[in-house]
Amino acid sequence: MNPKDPLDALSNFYSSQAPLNDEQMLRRILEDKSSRRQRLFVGLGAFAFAGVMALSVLAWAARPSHTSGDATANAITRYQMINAGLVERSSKSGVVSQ
Amino acid sequence: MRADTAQQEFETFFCAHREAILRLTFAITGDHDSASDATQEAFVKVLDKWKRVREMESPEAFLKKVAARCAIDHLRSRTRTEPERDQAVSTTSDNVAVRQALSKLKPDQQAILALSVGEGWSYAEISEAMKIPEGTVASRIHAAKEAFRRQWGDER
Repeated sequence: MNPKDPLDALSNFYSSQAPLNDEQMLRRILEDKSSRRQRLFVGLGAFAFAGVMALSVLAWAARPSHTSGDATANAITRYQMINAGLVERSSKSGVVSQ
Repeated sequence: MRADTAQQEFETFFCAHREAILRLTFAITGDHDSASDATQEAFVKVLDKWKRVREMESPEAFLKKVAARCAIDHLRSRTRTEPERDQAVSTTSDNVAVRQALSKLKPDQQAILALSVGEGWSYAEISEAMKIPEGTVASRIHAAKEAFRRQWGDER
């Protein structure tokens, strides 16, 4: 057959095409879904772990600071000592003399 | 138990439509590997939405639309790197000339010819699959046929 009309040739071309059948395709499709589900669970697990770690770091950073607590206690003691006349108030802050 | 039933339904659906979808994606892409990949992608997408798809009036129409889009995406990406269609498809001189003429068309022109001439899709179906207005489909088909005729003339 030798069609003169290019569109006839095109139509014949399409009807003569026979793709290879892929017998393994269904198995791959089902495996793909299964592996994507596993990747999703792994991803969610990693996200949850990262979230817990981030919250832990935030909680650690926001913990009550012993250093600032000590400084406050020292300041209160010094204030009480000044008030009691045990020490003199220095002209420069933070320096006291007996 | 219910999931098993859904999977069995999908497997039946797959077996019923695999060949038609392979033929469709092959008509668009023109090579076995791309057709196989596009077909697999289409079924994966359908499987992801299977609960909804199985309730549709025509799951087959949805599958065909998804498969056409996957094949067009493959055709576009492949044309950028590897313009040749599958050389081992057919050996008649007309088919060789058709294949060479098609490979010189734009990917969307190849796709619209495959859907209209090869698969006999309606304007509405082509419009939906290619995401173009229905009113544009006729002019695109006409332009693609003219482009094919010009390339065909060059090849003869």
